[in-house]
Amino acid sequence: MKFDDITIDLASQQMLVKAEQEGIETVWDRLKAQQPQCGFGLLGICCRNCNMGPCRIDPFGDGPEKGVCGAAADTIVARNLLRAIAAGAAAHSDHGRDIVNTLYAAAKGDTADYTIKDEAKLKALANEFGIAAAGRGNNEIALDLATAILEEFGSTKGKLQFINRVPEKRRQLWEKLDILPRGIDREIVECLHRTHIGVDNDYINLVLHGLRTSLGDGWGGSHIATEISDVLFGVPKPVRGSSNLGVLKEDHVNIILHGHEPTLSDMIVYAARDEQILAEAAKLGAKGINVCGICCTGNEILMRHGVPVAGNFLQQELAIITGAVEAMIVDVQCIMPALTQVAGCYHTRIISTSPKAKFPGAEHIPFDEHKAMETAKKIVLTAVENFKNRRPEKVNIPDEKMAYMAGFSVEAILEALGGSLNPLLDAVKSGAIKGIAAVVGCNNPKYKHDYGHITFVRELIKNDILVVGTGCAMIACAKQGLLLPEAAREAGDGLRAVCESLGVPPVLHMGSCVDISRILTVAAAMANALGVDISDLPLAGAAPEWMSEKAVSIGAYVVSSGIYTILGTVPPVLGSPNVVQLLTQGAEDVVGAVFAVETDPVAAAGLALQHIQKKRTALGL
Amino acid sequence: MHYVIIGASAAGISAAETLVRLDPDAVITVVSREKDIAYSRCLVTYYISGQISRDAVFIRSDEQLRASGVRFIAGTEAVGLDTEKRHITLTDASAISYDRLLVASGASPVLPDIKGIKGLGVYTLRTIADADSIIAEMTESKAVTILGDGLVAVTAAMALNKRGMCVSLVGIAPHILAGFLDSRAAGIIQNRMTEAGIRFYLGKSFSEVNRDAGGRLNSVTLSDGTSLEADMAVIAAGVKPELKVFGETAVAVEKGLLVDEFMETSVPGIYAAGDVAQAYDVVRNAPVWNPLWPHAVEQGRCAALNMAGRKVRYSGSTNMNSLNIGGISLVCAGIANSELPDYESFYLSDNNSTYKKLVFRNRKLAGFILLGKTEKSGVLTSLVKHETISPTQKDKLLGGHFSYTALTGPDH
Amino acid sequence: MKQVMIDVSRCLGCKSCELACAVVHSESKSLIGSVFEKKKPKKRVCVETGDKITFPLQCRHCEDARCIDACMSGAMFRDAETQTVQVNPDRCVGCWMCVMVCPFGAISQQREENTVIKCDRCVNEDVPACVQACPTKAIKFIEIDAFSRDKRNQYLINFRFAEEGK
Repeated sequence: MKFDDITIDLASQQMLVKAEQEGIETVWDRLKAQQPQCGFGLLGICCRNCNMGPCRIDPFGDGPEKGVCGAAADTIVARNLLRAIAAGAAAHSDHGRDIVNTLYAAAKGDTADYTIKDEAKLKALANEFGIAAAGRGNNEIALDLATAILEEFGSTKGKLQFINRVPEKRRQLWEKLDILPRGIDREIVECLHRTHIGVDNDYINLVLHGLRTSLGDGWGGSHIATEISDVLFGVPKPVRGSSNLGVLKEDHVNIILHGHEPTLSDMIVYAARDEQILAEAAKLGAKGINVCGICCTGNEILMRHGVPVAGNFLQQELAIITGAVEAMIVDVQCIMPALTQVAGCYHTRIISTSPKAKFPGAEHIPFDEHKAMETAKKIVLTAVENFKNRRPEKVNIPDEKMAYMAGFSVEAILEALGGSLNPLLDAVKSGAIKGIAAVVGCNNPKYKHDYGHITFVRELIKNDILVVGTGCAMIACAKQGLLLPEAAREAGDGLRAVCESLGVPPVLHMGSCVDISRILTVAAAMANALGVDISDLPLAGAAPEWMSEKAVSIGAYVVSSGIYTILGTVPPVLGSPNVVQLLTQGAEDVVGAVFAVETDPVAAAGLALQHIQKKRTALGL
Repeated sequence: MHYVIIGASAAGISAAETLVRLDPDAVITVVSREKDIAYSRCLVTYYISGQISRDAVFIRSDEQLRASGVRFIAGTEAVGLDTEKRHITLTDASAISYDRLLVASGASPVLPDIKGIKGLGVYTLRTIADADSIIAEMTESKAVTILGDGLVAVTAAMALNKRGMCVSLVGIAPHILAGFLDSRAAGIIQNRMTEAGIRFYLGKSFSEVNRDAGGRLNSVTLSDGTSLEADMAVIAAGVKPELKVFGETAVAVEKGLLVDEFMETSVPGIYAAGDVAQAYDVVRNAPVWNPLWPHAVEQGRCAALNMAGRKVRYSGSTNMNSLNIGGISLVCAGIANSELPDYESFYLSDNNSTYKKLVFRNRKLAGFILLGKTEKSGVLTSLVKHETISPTQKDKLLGGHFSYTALTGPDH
Repeated sequence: MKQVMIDVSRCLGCKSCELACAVVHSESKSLIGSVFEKKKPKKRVCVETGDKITFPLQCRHCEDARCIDACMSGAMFRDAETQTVQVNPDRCVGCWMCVMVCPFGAISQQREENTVIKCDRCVNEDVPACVQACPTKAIKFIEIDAFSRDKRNQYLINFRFAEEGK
């Protein structure tokens, strides 16, 4: 098949053929047009932080070895890394803040559309934050909780509340290294301060602060986003649905929710069930309204509602190219500005909703949480009305569609295990499950679409490694059927037996990219149960096709949390051998884990297995 | 058409190859007094130092020479000339007639008139055969005294020093390489050579070469009475153009054989190129004897073009040199070694590792010395060959901007 | 014959050509690979700065190549097939004569190796690496009519060194 060199996904290949026929430019065309990409950028040795520059370092020692201010490659690479971490942590954490703001509004009664969906979670969190719950109403508790959590962003307590979930040993280690995150916003701001001209120039000091900032994301912003979303929208439970572009329906109004936050998208799921609007759709000849997701907004709603997911990051343009999408509703993060151009070739309307994210050529319908349902209905109605503009000759929906089982929150996993982690720990101890690998992250057009995720995951489950994951990596697995209990047939005997006895897939979808916090929570709980540090556990992390700054922050907090992490695309740090050494070797002695970079997913799986075996041996397993 | 070329070094080979290209049907004969032909004279000291093999001294292989179709007569010297009959005579008394003759006979070392200089242990250094003799004789930790302060003396000193010999250099000038360097640049190089273990006796000459009863060299006495033990002496006290072929024939000679702008001598039909010739110098705006490899190649080609009937003016030579001595690189061109009236010298950099000197005369870059950092020096050499430079270019040069891009562009 | 020509108005001075040149002359032939090579690869093109311009300068492979004339070791030669000027490092002795005479300053000294390096016009590649790397197409590899001096002058800077630029 044509385009099988750029994606393993058949639906995507089919849409690329259509794009070519119709002269539509996609992300792959633009990547090609960008070739060759700037070598200084690839190596991380250009600096634009002040106007004495821009400066770049000659990586081959044949030109300048210092910028105008005197910063050498080590400083420049570390500063650039720090800024990427800051941006990634900011994205996750600001997402978290928005969710808490919604909780705050709901608790104050400022919005009737949001209510406390999960009282148990609310009370558990209140308990964690030392907020009295007995004899108080949910809104009263929620208001205190929201206030307490908002305080985490600019905390003066000296450390974040969720750090208490971290095993004692690790907490002490962070304290000793002076990388305990003190406040979510503070660390991000400090990144920008430190990387300003003439502030922090010591690459080790810079990288250490990068780790602290990322911990403020992983154990702060992302944790908050997950936990409060659960309070407002419900704790995910195992749920089934279907995936890939084949979920679009020719005879329905198709709405795609793309971006990252659940606030609006959850509301749209309900708005699309509104009788009046459905009647409107019927009037225009549509058999119904089909709400689907892409990227992490998709993950948020599939985790809670089993909403079909049309694809992952690299499929956002391809979904429009089906010609069958009435509206793509976007909020924040990973939304390509190119969407409006692609949409311009079809009837699709791109509707931006966040005041933080506007797109030239898109319609903007600002989302107001105080009038959430009203906004959601307006948006759905806009989509419905657009159904009449659909051009049937341009419609071509691929048949590819695959069922999934998702919704594995920590609570859901515990429930599947019968209420305690022990069966899982026992399986690990017995060797039925050799270890657990977290597979997360984006797609990257530099890398064959989904190939890294799928090959890596298949290798692992074959070798009795339980895979947990989030984000676009899990959408890739969904499309390949790896999120079905039947996929246990592809697993090694030990893992297969465990999955079959519990009726779960060998690959557990735990949510959107902020939900890596769920993985951290499980890891911490396992370590606590065994009385060891997270770095002692037979765990590994991987981002086989990562591309975003959020992924840089994720990688940093996963490694700082003690989990060996394999990157499948090369980060822009190779211009400084010292920074590379620190990240891939030196960090072992500092945080008990390192980064590895391996672009071949089979070899990467080999690294993960080797690492897990090493940890098993150390634990005497 | 029969072309005869005397000499098979830079100018001779360059001319022969040019003639083959221009006039494939012509008969071309090259006569060389040396057995070894088409080798690089400049590589001889590299060969002595051991940096390269004897084979690597040759710039054309036997196959290349055979394939050229040129007739080479090696090991025979042209010693006579009959301009009426248009033939030359060789040492074996045979005669070769010519239609056009190129004298590219090069130069020969000068052997000063010093008591005891002739005999065992005293060598000149010009040919690969000279080098063979020196290599056969040189022994580690034995003493060698070199007479001369020019490029051959200096490079020979470094080569023999590298071979472990105790080297003394005796020169009449107050500093080495005075032909193109000022005392400052020469001093830096001299220091480096001293660090390497070479001893200098400057402002002096040999007054006597002393031998034992068996005629073996044992010491030299210098002009100031100093006696230096010596197992070997190398005489590198300059060269003179090799004019033997002219015999009694009258031909215009100054320092070298004078040629016009078409490389023709005062004898019609006889051209000259290379170290034997004294051609136009663009800096001095007069015929100057600049016996240098690049000039020889260029002059050989230019002479050949004219011999073949193309009227091509010689673009002119200039004094220039590049050195790589003990890791110090140096490039100079034009006039930069003396303080003359009307010449302004600017010192852009002067420390123990770099020395940059530019010399201007009116609106002209008259010369430069770059020591230590010699990148892009060719741009300056090119400018030296220009009649004038613009004020902007001068500013750029004085600002240390030597790049092609800095020195060109619409404003210049 | 195709030649590398520079449209100076397009050069932004990004030095992508320099990196690509070093990489194509590395062992691994990849940027990431070459960063880890013990012997760092060397570039043969140099982005120079002039009055309000930047200019990626590499060997122009002159018709009358002074460097070939000046080379007393036979290292510098004209390749019969491509008509490019090439240097044979095995024959180079580091005398810097070519550096002394190159009017463009396009020959680099490698002091440790005692040899020179210069643009080899990537004769083993279809298109020279610098040309491929240039994001603004300032470096072009185009067919030049041997007599079309005007066209060449369009690309080379207005060069007052009368005998150059051919």
